[in-house]
Amino acid sequence: MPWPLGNSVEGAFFVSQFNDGNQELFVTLITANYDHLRRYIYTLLPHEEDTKDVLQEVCIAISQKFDQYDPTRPFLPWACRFAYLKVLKFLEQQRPRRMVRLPTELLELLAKTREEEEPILAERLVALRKCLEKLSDSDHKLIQARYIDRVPTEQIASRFAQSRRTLFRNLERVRRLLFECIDRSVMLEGHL
Amino acid sequence: MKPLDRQGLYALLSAAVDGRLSEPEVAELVRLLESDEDARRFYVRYLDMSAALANAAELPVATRRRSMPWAALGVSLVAASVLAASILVFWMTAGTGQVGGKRDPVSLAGDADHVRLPPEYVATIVAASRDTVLNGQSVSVGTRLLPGSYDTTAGTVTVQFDGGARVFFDGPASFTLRSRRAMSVQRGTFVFRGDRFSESIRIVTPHSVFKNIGTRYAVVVDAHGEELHVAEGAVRRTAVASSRSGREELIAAGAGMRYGAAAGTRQSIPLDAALVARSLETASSGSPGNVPFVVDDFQGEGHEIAKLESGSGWNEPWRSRRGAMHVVSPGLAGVGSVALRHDATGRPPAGHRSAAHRQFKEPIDLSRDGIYYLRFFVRRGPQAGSDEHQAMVVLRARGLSTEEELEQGALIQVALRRNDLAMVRVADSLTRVSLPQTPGETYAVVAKIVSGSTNPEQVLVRLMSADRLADSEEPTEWSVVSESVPTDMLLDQLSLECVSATWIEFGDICIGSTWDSVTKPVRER
Repeated sequence: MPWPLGNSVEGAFFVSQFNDGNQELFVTLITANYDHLRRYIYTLLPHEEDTKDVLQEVCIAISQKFDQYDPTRPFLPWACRFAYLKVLKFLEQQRPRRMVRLPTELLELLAKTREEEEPILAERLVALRKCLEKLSDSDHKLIQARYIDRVPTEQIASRFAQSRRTLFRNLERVRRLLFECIDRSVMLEGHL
Repeated sequence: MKPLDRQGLYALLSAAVDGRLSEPEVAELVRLLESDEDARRFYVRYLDMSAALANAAELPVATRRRSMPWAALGVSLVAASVLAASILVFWMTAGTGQVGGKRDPVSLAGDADHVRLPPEYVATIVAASRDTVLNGQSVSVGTRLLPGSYDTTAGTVTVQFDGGARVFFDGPASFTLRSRRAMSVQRGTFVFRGDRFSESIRIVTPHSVFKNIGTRYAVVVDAHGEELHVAEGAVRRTAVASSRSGREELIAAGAGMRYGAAAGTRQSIPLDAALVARSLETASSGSPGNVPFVVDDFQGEGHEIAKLESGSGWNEPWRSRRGAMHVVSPGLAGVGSVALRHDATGRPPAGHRSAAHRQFKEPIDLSRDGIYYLRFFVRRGPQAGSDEHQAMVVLRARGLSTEEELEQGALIQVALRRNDLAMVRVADSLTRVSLPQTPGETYAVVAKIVSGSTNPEQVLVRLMSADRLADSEEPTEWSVVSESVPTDMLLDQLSLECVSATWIEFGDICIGSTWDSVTKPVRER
């Protein structure tokens, strides 16, 4: 049975804890969920630099409103709501750096879908590691250049002696390999 | 989703993450996502994968198969990611003088590449009948569960995920905990209960994948197929045979469905309300309310702690060579009780420390499977300036020097510090949380120590107003939760340690094997 907080002495000091600004708890929670929040924002705003900007805004907003956080409840859904609102604000206030700008109604649908998908996404994240290990060396290097080294596409194309068109086609192929590998892996795990 | 749609989405989404979608393609993507729920799920999964690739720190790195160059990449990514988080932490705390709570995350990242991190617990047994047998053993309420496979051959058991949802198993069942948000059930009958505040759980059965939406539902899994009964909320179900295509159905409250073993066979059945109503609480607890094996109420001859012989379960009288702790009355447990008081008011700094030690008869062996509960009362005066104002109870191995103790990490510390900190140390792992406390208020502190022969150790601490202790049940939310730490310590000494310029009082102490055993007043036993 969850512990009631109400007007008990215990409840009072839990509430006062957040009125005082519980920075340590904030740091613990934000550190533990930092990357999850980043991925959440990226789903709604698929651009890495835009995502970073919004994530910073989200952290500030959460720190300012942290006294409203109820520690008996999961942190992530609460934080994701901030992230969702910050994405909307970001889209209202400035032009995203890329062309993918999704309508607000669709963003709400995607946020809801993401919430429902969270258990599956957690499993898929674990499966991704295994699938990365199955890539060929050349595909590894491609993913490394694109995602790890963040090399501009022109330079990647030059390094791999490919045209830009071929490079993007190869990236699409490798992502698809990974995605399908994850599909298989998750289903296989589910039957063990 | 049709295969053709999937093909189209691969191309559109790959272009989206590379930032090269044309305006007509954006419009096409929007149209697809707005009109097709399956497309939205596909989109979320694809974008999440792409985001995860951009930060390999998200991926486990302990058992990487390839050494180069991928492993090296992982190291730098972990460091980069953690550094980013550290910068964030620094940025958010700069100017306040406060320090982050857990172990240095950069050190953790460094360790992670060389050492297999201990598995993390994902759930707790919160209720079980007396006859429950789990993996061939009787069950203790409060047992923490790691990811892995479990079989119940008799009785009932309720498992609560760390995210809040509960699953009640009735009778023989086989299930596998995969993470704090996913499990599979190979056979048996279970009742699931979650609400909008608990994390949703994905449950995979031989024929189905179930996801709850604010739900209470029951499932029967047997050789002939599966039955689903939804009492509250709704359940999203995907047939395993079609799960790659992602086709799902939504079963609303009040409905029952039977799915045959043959793929695609399904029929509506009446809701079995009695099945779903099998209460998670009525299964509760078969754990015997036993008595603590160490008790101390400080009732004895004299007022000095040194040589005081009080309570039971001890090998020796109290020993104290530092400071001066005195027995005072009244204590912290009502009329007739006494307390142990450290009072340094007006004393020079050299007199701000005091400590007392006592060896107990039955050691706590952390190399074996078990659960122990340590409970004590504590009341502290006001904090003076920047004084540490620390009250700490330590479980340690007697006979070790300070250096040996530190080197071997042979101790568990539970401490309240300043007016706003609670801390727990298990071996070399320290966890601190901000938890403001009121000077002069009496608190009960209960530390649950989970030990395993093969599983890691963990300590969970609950701080509560002392007057709420007697009627309390074991909480599902804890004030401080330590990291999972593998250790094989043998602890046989309890120490009370104070560092304060004002006063601190300790009340009744006990150690037992159940919550109930340590939450009843010592003098009423």
